[in-house]
Amino acid sequence: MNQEEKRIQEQRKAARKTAVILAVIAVGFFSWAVYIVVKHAT
Amino acid sequence: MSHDITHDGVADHHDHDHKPKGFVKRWLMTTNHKDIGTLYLIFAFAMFILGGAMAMIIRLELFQPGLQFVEPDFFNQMTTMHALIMVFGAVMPAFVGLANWMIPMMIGAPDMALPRMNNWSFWILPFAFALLSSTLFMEGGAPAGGWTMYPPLVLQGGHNVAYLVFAVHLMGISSIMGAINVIATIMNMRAPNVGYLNMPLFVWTWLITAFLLIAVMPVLAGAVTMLLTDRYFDTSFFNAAGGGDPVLFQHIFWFFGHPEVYIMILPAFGVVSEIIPTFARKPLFGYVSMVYATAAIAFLSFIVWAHHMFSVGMPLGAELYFMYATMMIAVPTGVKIFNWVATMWKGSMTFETPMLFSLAFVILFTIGGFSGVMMALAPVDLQYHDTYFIVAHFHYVLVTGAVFAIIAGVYYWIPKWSGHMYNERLGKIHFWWSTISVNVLFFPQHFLGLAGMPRRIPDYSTQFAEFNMWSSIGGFAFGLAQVFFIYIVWKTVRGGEKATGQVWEGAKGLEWTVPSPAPHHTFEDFGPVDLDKMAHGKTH
Amino acid sequence: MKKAQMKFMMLISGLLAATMASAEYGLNLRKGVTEYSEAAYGMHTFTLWICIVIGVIVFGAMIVSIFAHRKSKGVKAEQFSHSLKAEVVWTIIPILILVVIAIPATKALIKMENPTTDDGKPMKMDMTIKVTGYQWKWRYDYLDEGFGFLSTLAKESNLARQKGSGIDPSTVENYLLDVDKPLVLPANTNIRFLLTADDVIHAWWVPDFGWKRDAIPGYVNEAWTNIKTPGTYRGQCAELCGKDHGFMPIVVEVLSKEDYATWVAEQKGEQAEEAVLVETEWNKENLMARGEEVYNAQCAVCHQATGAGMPPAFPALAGSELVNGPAADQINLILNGKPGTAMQAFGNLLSETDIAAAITYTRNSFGNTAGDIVQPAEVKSMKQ
Repeated sequence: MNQEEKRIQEQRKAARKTAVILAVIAVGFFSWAVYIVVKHAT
Repeated sequence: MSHDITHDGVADHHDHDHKPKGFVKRWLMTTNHKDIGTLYLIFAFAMFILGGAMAMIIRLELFQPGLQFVEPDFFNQMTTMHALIMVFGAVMPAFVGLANWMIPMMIGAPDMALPRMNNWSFWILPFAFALLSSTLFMEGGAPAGGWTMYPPLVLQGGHNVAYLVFAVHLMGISSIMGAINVIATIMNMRAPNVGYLNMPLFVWTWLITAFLLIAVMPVLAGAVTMLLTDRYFDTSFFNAAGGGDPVLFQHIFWFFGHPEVYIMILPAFGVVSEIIPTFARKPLFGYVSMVYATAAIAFLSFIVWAHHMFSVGMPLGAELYFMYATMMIAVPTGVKIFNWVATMWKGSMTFETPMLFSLAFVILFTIGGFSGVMMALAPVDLQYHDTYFIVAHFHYVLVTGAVFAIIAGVYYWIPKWSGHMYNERLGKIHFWWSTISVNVLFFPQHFLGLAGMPRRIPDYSTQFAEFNMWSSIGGFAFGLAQVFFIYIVWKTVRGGEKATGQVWEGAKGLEWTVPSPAPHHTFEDFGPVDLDKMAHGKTH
Repeated sequence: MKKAQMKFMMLISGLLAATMASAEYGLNLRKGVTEYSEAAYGMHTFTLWICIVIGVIVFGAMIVSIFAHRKSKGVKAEQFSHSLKAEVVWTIIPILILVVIAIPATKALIKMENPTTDDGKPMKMDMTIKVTGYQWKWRYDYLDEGFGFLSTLAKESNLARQKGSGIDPSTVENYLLDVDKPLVLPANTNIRFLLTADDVIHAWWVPDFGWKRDAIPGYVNEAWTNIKTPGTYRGQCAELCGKDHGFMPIVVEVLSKEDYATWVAEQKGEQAEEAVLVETEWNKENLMARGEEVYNAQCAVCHQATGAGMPPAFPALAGSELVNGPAADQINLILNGKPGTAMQAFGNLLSETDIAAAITYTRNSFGNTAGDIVQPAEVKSMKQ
């Protein structure tokens, strides 16, 4: 594995990590919206 | 010498392009950002025509007072579907298409960060819109409660409610995945020597837009999920009789909805910020302040939602707050407009079609911005609200704003995509035809609104007849102009004058360092790029 | 290119001219007949002019640039790309302009939401009107007087607006802006409105009063007005509320205080007559005649004049099991409505006589053969 390919691998790994964090944030916003309404309704 | 590395690296690949063979492998299973970008753009265009056809039905019925062509309920289905299709099917996917094509090439990345997810985000969309459009053929018809989906009205929609909700879920998932991909790409895939403040403004605006998407699409998903349970599982989240609150839906919806309108306009700012410097042959004025202004607009978009609801009866304090916060948006938006004008100032301008559309964008978007400031004033908004004045306002910012920017972007980059120059004469005809007709279409709607015509009505008092007729004539002409646009694009893709790699004399940016058409794979070596080729490479 | 520029210039100047002309030829916002509507009009005009001035400056600079700084004139592009001073200037100036606009806006909003008299005391309201939105009509209750009525689209407009009616709307007076029974209000009186809705969200809007306010089920919204000049003022529902959203106008007849008092007395007289009619035994002929009128005004909008309905949303009455079944079930449905559908609870909307008449009419029309008649007294007993 040469230097370049190694860097690409690392970059892809970092990108996946970013994606997972963002997905968690998205789920968080979804839950927050539902929470607000449920709290208000009861 | 890094410039040569990039260029040669690309040239090597040019001859054996590695394009997958066969329709299924090339398009259905593609993970290539350029092919996916093309798919997004074609899909967006198809939806633009479908949503446009609905607009034609609306304008046809409104051509004269009295009901001539459709029943009121079908009219409401048309206004609802027109909005949903244009917002989620045309404008948003078109910008995602531009992002897919251009962002990797603009930052020196070989592809999007998550290519397989990229394929998935696109291929969800046809299913989402098939689901939504199928309601047109159901008993009881399509959703007719407005794209805002306010309960309790939307819940009267029979079983199209379920289709609507699931379609919105799918669109949401698609957008969120697309946005995640954009952020992951921009944060991780830039060529090693490209810093954040080297990035073209289009990339910046998309980065900020993607964050908005991730924040608000889930909120919309949550809201419509609760609509679904209210409809089918006897919950009462938004049902006053069961202890719920119909106004809360509006708060949640507009917490999504206001950032949503910036989702549709920030990338447009980006496109125009690329085009104006190219044809003024002068660097973008105030690059850093443009970035800050974009971020400021995005931030403000989260805290102004209730200006869509001045008439629901909020406490005085809330109304004052939302009025002040909304007025503040004029400041960063103004900064952008002044910067564009300063970019043109003392440049050496030429007026190819992309530039013409961009100049029209600056003027007509500003007119939309003016009516926006007027409506920010809560006491007067109690007059403007839900009239044709707002219809005129948001069509100025979305049609002569977002759509004009998309068209400008297509003319600007299509030589890079197809390898052919479009026909400049036809492009200019398209521009003048569109610009004149779109103003005949939407400008009189200001007057209609001020004179008291409510929006979303299939028939109107005879005093509104004249302007409605003008508006309809403009509408038909504008619709026809876009059919002409299909012809121009088709002709360009099929053949025409060969484009050079540079395409535009004054263009700066990495996308212009690769040949036209852009090879299937670009910047594969992942090495440093020549910052001198980037518009914001040296200073800052 | 020269031609293209000319067109561009003409377009821009045309847009501006059109904006300004609107102020003179009555295409502008209405000044209206209340202090509030005049304040809104003033603010609208003020802001419009500010926008026009800014537009002239910004578009002017653009146009100068478009003409002067072009390659075809051999201009070489300068390469300046930033100026902190310029950025600060065009951040601060808009903020100042916004502050100038915000001050009168704040004052007007406070006046609307927290009305006070000149000496700062809360304003005393002289009377209260409760406005209730229904699909697709308004109900007005005079809370101080103890009576109320429905207000629906006038018959002439309703006939003309049917698809393929063959009636030219321009031959109908006040097409779509006329009702069978207008809201009547006194001039120069502080009137409080309480707004709510029974089914979906509506919005009550008379442009001449200067505001609209949503009528929301489960909410009671407040607004107020004081109308300076007697006259007839027209408006419309301003929140999408279903298929006939465009067909539920608002008409307000404003009378002098004396005329208003006479009108109130008349209404009370009629109300007393109605009370007698409920106790009267009706014959079929009279019930059918009144029923047809009520049906066409209240029911035909959904169930159609032919009783064919518009399934699935609005079921047919012709051949309906309910209509041809026991009368008690039908009375029950009319009184209480069907939750989750557009079928309203008419118990508090119409008089017992009207309900009895409409039911009798449906049971003996459209080929329905129930044959029986329903007396107002029966409806009254089921209501209790």
